[in-house]
Amino acid sequence: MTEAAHPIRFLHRGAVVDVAAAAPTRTLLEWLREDARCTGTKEGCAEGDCGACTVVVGELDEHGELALKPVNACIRFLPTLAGKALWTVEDLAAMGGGALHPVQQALVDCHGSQCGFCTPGFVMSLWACYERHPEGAPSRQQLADDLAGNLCRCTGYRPILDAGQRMFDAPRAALERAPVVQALRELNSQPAPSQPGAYHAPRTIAELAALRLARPEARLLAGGTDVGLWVTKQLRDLGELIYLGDVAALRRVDVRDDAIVIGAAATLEQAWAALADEWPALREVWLRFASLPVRVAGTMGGNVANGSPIGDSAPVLIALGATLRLRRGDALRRVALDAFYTGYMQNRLEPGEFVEAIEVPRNAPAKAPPRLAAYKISKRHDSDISAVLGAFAIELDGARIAAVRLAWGGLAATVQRAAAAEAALLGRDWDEAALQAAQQALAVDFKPLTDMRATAAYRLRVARNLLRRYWLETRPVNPLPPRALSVWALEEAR
Amino acid sequence: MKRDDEVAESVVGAALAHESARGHVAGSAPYTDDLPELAGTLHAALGLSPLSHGVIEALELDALRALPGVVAVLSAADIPGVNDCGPLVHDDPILAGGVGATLRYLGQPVFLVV
Repeated sequence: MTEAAHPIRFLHRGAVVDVAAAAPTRTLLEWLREDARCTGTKEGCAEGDCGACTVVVGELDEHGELALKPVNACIRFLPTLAGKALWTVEDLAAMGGGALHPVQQALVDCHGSQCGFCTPGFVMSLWACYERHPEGAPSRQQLADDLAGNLCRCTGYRPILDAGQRMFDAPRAALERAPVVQALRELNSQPAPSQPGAYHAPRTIAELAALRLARPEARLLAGGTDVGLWVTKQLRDLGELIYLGDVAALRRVDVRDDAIVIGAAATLEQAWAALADEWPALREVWLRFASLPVRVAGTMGGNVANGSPIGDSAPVLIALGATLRLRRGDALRRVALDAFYTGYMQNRLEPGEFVEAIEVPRNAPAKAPPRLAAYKISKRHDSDISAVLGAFAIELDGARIAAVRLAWGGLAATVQRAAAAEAALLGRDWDEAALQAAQQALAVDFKPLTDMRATAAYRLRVARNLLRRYWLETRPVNPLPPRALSVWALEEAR
Repeated sequence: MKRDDEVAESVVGAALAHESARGHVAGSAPYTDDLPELAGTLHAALGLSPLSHGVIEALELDALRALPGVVAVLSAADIPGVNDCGPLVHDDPILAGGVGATLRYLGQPVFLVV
């Protein structure tokens, strides 16, 4: 296959930036601070946690409209900006006619900065929020959810949240979108960026499948929210990259009659929104999965294919009975997600094969839906990695357990079902004796590790306790309401 | 003592904006790492203790001083004033002392190469 090199072109400050030669893993933050000398955007953690580097990336969605996403520039590889638009903290004043933008003025007025280092990131997350809510201020809780990816260690969040509400009071200074949309259309009619032997950004599944077959050793890159850290923290050479984020057909989430089909490059935010729409019990795990800047960049397909034992998607998807659709060239096959993993970050993908979609069966209309629950245990409530995540689905026939799936993250080298605990439950009445048998059996299923997130004993104990909580919520006799079981539900009821 | 209305007219109790707030929110407040490096800027690296606990028997730095490009090699003896940076409790030596001094942790700074 002969292939021409094409530069990276993106929109910044109303003009097209043309980067001919950048290492494929050069980060957007490095480009901003070192090449463009836009030093307003800061480096804090360099791993997508603290949000000091938050910028806003605009791209055309499947309806051709401009979607603005707050993203972590520190782990975003520069070539993935191709065909998109970029705004940083320095660009907002121009929208306020040279004076401060309402977002910025509100932060000044509410005393929302102290050392100021996290402030540019907060400004950009707040600006994305401002643009997402032309109707006016969202609730304080929604603001807090939107800001979960921005850490402040000296000002305190109260004045920042105050500013988030105050910014909607000033005369509106909305982004003029039409010229941006026009420029992005023009950019996307040009060839995709490419560096032969180093970086490819196919736009169709057929191109991707051909590239994957021709270069089975090349690494697939989706949102880069984990792969980015392999570069910034482990200083690894990733070799040749194939970027999935510009394959339009993979970026879709289709809600069909029988299944929710999540394309491999659909973002975590898209995917969780669709799942929580069908299963409201998943809302908390959705909002506690990393933070908005990670969820609008990272993909559920990447989370599943990467296969970390503490990825939060897989336990939930396994509890829901999800299947992966895998493609190799023109050949498709399906593998149940609970049979996909073969060891720590190992899976059944063959050379040249890739995950094309996650298929999640929907509730059958004629049948009572399974009782679904997902519980995340982490040291911090927001934006933290799970110590343990349990996702459970039980189908009852009267009081009898007709089907059961207990999927766990954080208890083994892979996300997996608790076979012995499930066997202890199947066919029995869902009563306390059955619960206790399943709790005992968890010790047969899992020998968890001790690490920085939890000890082995804590993990097993909390896993057993989560089963009890699930039983209290779902038992046929006298089930407890959520407010009796969750401090957060209590908080919301106030 | 001032009357309440006199206090109200003063700055006491008035909300004043942070003097750098506009710079913070515009991304224009300069931080050290944001400034372009001046031509001729020197760089420093610390020599660290390879032991978690031990006593310095000898500190032979002349070979380092002789290396090309090395401008200075500094140890505790070169610090004018008190070799301590503990802001409240003065128990934090900047560099471990000279011969006879105790090394207190793995990675403790011992000398500085400029």
